[in-house]
Order: sequence, then structure tokens, then C-alpha cells
Amino acid sequence: MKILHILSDGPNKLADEIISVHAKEHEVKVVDLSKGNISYDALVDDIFAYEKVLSW
Amino acid sequence: MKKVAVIVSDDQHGGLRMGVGLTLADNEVTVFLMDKPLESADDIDLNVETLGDLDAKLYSNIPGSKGEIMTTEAIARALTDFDAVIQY
Amino acid sequence: MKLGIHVKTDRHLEQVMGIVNAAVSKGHDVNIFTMAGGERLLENPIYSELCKNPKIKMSYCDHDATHQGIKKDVIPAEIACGSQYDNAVMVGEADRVIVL
Repeated sequence: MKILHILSDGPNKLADEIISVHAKEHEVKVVDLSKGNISYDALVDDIFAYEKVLSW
Repeated sequence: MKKVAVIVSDDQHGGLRMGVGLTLADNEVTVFLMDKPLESADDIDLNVETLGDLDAKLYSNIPGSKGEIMTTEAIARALTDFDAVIQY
Repeated sequence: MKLGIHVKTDRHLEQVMGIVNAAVSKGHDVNIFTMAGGERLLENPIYSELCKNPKIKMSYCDHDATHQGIKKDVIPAEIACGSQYDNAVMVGEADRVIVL
């Protein structure tokens, strides 16, 4: 399964724990919005292309 | 019916209120209480009770907390079964 | 496709705008529900004017707005003064839901 994790305020402990479990069994992509220089076109494409989206 | 998970970690007041509210439409709601015991407050007590009355499922990774206890790892795996996940 | 955005804080206006504008430019419909700390954005026309785009539907939690003393008279009429029901419908109808 393809899972997209969106970090609004950068990494946090709970998100890190959940992402690490998902990464063992799934294709995971993490987008950190706090880093800036975001391609919103690509992000929107990912939001619909990935089967699951989790926001933190 | 959409399966919706509410992860309550930062804002228990807002998260639980929203969890109850999600039942107002065609959503099957499951709430995961994460990492800290429930605060003592009337609105939190009421919303937890209401979630139970509405057959929403309640889980926690905190032993002794309300709801059924699950490990964080088990919760992470469970989250992949939901159509939408909202974290508060 | 329909993108649901639950706005719960006022800290991510740039990201909200970037995602919403990109989604609309790609032909998606966007439904934004605002509550909690996000309600403060409703007083910012950069945010509230999103409702003028016919591809964007907006609503907010009146309970939270009242509780926080949000100036409702500056909120465009196109943004529905609603309740948690609007969020429940948004989540139920959206193909994807993100929270900012």
C-alpha cells in the first residue's frame, strides 16, 4: 500500500512512531511542509495518487 | 459509509468533540487516545460517554485509560484500514 | 476528485493556499472546514476570499467562532456558518482528507 504522511509542523514523536511502523510494510512518502520550497502541484498529485493520506 | 479514525493526542477537547460530530453524517468513527491520560473535564467526560452511546470505538495506547488498550504499533497498523485519518 | 481540508490552526496559511490553489488548478473540487484555532484565519481576507472560487466550498464551526470572539461580520456570506455536521459531511464526501 502507498501511504503519504504530511507533516505540518515538522517531525514529532507520535508521527515518527507511526511512520516507522508503516515504512516496514508499505511504500511510504513523507512530506514536511515546514521545510518550505514545497511543490504544491506535486503534493496534490501525491494526495490523490497515494491510497492513504495522514496529516500530522 | 466512510471509516474515519480520529487520533487524539494534542487537543483532547477539540478531538473528542470533532469525533462525536463526525457521527452526524454517514461515518463510522474510531477514536485513538494517544500518549497521555484523559484530562479531567466535563466536556471530555461527556464526549467520551457520547462516543460510547453512538457505538464509536475507543482505543488507547495508555494502560488504564478509557477504551480498549492497543500498542502504538498495533494502532499504526490499524490506521491503514481507514478511509480518512484526522489527528488532533 | 474532491479534496477535503480540515483547518484546525492559523499557522499554515501559506500551505493551505498552496494546496488549495494547486488542487483547483488541476480541476479538483475543494471543501474546507475551519474550526478551533483555524477560525482566526476567517478574519484574513486572503483566506476567506477563497470562497469566491466556485470550485471551493467553505464552512466553519459557529460554536468555536463564538467562543473565540471571531468577527463574524467580516466573514463572507458564501462561507457557511455551520457546525460539526459540516465537517462530518465534508469528510464523508471527500476522496481525500488532509488536516492543516
